[in-house]
Amino acid sequence: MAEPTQESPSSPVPRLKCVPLGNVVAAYDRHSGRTHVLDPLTAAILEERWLHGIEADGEALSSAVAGRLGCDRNELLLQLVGESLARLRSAGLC
Amino acid sequence: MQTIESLAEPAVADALCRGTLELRTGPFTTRIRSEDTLIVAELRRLYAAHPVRLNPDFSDFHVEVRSVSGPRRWVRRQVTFLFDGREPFKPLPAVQSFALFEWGLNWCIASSAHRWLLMHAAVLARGDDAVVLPAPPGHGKSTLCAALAFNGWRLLSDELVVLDPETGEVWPLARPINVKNQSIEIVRKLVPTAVMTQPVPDTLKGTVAHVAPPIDAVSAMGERARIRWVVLPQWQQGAATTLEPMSPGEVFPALIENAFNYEVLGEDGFDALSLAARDARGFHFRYSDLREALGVFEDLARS
Amino acid sequence: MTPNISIGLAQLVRGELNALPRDLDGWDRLIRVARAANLLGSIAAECDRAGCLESVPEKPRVHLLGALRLARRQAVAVRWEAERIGEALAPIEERVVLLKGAAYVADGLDFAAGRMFSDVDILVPFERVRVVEDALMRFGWATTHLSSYDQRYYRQWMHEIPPMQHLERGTTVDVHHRILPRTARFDPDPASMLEHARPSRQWPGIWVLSREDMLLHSATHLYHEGETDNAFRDLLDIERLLGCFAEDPAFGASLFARARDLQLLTPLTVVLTMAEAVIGTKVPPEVARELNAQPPSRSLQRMLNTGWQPSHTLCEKPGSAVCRWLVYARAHLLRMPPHLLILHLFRKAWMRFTDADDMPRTENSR
Repeated sequence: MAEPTQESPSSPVPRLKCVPLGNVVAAYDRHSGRTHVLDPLTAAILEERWLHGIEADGEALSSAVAGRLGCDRNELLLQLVGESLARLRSAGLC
Repeated sequence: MQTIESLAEPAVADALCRGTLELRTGPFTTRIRSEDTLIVAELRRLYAAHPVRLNPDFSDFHVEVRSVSGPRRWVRRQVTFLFDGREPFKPLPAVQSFALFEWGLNWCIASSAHRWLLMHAAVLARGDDAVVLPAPPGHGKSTLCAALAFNGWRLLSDELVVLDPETGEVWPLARPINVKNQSIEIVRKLVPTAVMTQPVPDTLKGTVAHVAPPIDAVSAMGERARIRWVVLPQWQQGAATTLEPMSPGEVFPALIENAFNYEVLGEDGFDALSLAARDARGFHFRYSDLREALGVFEDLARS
Repeated sequence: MTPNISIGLAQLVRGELNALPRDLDGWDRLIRVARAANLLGSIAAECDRAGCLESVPEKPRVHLLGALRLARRQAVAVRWEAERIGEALAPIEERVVLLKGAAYVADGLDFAAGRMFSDVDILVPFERVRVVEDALMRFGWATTHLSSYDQRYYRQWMHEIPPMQHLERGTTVDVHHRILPRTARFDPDPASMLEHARPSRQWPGIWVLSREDMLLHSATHLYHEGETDNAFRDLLDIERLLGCFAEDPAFGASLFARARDLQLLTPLTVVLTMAEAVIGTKVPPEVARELNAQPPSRSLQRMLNTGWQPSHTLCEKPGSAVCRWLVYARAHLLRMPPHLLILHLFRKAWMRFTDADDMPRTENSR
């Protein structure tokens, strides 16, 4: 469902354009034309997915996110990752 | 360069009657047709220093303010605004004709000028550093805007920010400032020499008047500015003057919420506003005393 | 002057850019007429395609760029909408069959670049209307608030249910279940059009009518339409549809055969005859033969020749206002038998406009 849009056969353009704004990330979804303001955790999840193709729900994703944020992969993080994924799904972003 | 005041009154009235007078307000030119005497009079007073052309070749907007036909042409006369032959609004009492013209011009810009990102906010500049004041009605924006405009800040617009998404620059309009209700008296006291229309009661917004922009704002209508500050003002009775920093993450949605055509501009709109939010300093501003408020803005300019 | 502006406008929309104005006065007139005819975006797209936007003088270029931006944004939005509608109808196993402008874009018809959209129109089988309505509601659409009189009128007589608006996005979808209102003189069979529907060429999962039916649908609607604002544009659409599809030499014959099957021969011949008269369409010989076999009445031709010009003072011919009213009245007569004629005004949602407090309440109609 979440494919990057292709603008030409030879140069795929990433679906999400991100601009860091202090401690949040402004994101433009080229596929839907919607704009999102994401907390750092959600932004980290999206970046890991889009840049590194790490699938949702996997251990790899939460490990990568933990690494990115500089924290342990603990219960709380897993819960927050789950909530963020739910938000992303309802926004049609993954 | 011709201005309205450089033309004799009969010439202005005649050109308006024939629809051959073009008024420049920043990047927009408007060809106006009207036989309404109030329109003629107020254009001459409120837009005295604005550049005009007679018999122009290309104008961005073609507008007309005229009396409606039928019984309302004579009894409790009503006027209507036309944007190139189309009437976007219901007619209004004839005494409101100048206000109708102003609202109509806002409509023309907001509904068709998608070359720019348009925001509903006041914008003024010190040099080429601009402060944008987005605010829903009732927050005291227009009083504050008028005060700033006559106290060392160059007025770009009291209501419409015209942002070029390619360069990030704001274009001035230098049009009359719209004030209402109590604000009218406050501005009159603050700037006794300001040229103002007669207050018009019972409009949809209450009692409404327009204040001619300061001359320096009009002469500088070609000078763009960059957004340096975004200030969300809130007038509150008895409130202490406070200026609280806003994070870029808060400024960004505040700008989007006040943009007319953010969706239309798509990614270019996102770029323009995310960069503006990133590079500008944002503040929540609460005040009750206008003089203190002006002081805060002076400090801001010096920082 | 009057006919020249319309012809010039048609030429530009076709991509014949030698018709571009030579001076700013000419540009001033063109921008205004094109905007009134809802063709500003199309002209901008043609200039962009030919790579000559940069050589347009700056003052008019600003307007072309604005219209192009708007049109491009709308095309993205329309695709998104079509896909969301597809999501809503998937659980009930109903296809999304697009009508009108959205269908042209979905089918990759390049004349549709720069087009302005307001809503998305889909066609569903009559017996599934309720189920479709429920499915859309489950995904966030709601029937526009209409008086119970209007609701009854719509559901009983019209070819579509009242427009449904998405509560979050504010976009509108028109669900058609017939080609024309039940009371109209002609009664083309929607089931047959649905049967002949095909997958669109550019948007996976989205369907459009067959090429013949696409053209017939457009012609039929123009023939019956009371509001003339888009008539000039619709004629250009039909000309371009004919142009695209008639690259296949068998198309002309199959178009007319299909028209006879659906009993839409009269609307088709009238509209194509008027295309020749109003915008200078050159029809292929086999089509010309059919048109000559049954020319529309002179008085109808005269009325439509005036009424279908772009609705702008610069294009007015004597009697324009009268003709427009006649077209309007005629449309209502065509839609309803005389004894049921009620003057009933429909306002379709205009492009969404932020309701800034500074603006007086506006009324816009499309």
